[in-house]
Amino acid sequence: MASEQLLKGVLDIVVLAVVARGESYGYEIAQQLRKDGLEDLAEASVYGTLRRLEQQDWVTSRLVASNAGPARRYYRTTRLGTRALEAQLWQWDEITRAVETIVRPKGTRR
Amino acid sequence: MKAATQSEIWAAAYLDAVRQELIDVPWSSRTDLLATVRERLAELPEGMVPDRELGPPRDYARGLREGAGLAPRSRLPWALLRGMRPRTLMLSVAALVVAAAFVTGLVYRAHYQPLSASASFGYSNADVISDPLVTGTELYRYAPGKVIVTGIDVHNSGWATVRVDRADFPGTNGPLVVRELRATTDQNIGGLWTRAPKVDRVSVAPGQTVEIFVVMKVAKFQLGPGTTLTVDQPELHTHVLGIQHTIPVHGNEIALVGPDE
Repeated sequence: MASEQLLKGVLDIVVLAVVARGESYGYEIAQQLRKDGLEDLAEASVYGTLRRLEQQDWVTSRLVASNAGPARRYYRTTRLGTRALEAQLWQWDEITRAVETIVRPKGTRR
Repeated sequence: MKAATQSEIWAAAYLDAVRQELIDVPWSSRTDLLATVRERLAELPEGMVPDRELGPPRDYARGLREGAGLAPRSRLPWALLRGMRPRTLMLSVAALVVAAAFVTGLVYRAHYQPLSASASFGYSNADVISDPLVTGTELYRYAPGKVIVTGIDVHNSGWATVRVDRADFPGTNGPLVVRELRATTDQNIGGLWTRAPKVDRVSVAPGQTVEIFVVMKVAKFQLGPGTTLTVDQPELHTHVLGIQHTIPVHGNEIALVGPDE
């Protein structure tokens, strides 16, 4: 189970990654993240992150009318967001590799 | 008008509670965040209690803050100011400025007194006692019914007209009783106070100097031989900007001297 503090650090990258898979709305993104293993993720923090990513022009949104219920805001990544995701993924790989080396030296891996 | 459903009432209450939790967040950011809450609440199935699905408003607001990279809630006054809608803030500041100006105006009005008054002339049909050892006092022999006149230079150095309503002595039953006022703008009248017309009140325009003669009579009272009774010059009761003031008249004191021993 991921801790709250660790989650905060990766919110941008995971939300951006889910949005990059295809246009989606807030609740769906939160559900997807939970389904992918982040069960402790607060739904509200996804909405807060989406709002911030939109301010940074990493995602864009549009309201889509629905026959079944109220209009939903759908998010998709911008070109800037796609580049940002690539950069963040590269940084993520670097960090996880380094952390893995530090916390589990060769020969001690489970 | 369509009545609100129970779900709408719950949603409105939840939204309001989240808004209160975000009260210190800058207005535009808060508006954006609350829009996402509103949209999310609208997605809830009919009859669903928001707290059950989204958690307590406080936690939801905290999640929004964390996601949006905002600082934890602050209860400092400046944070609350920052959270105010710009228009509301401007109106509040404007209201404060107007209130401050109004209060300042009231205080200014209450203290505005541009009149100066100084006694420049004295006359009496009673005996005038000359004593080279006494300065700053006009000595008159006490004689009931005699007249004592003080000429007062009144100058208005302000911007509003001041009205002098009357002159008298503080308290009652003094040795001198004010009988009448006379006034003139003729600066060359000198001691010819009887030439100045009688007036009930005098208006002194900005920049104007008026000579006011206060005509007093000596009242009947007991003044023993060798005794001297000294009184200040009468006060002027004025009216300016709707406020009444009493101003002192600077100048020599008046002294009544009893009969010789």
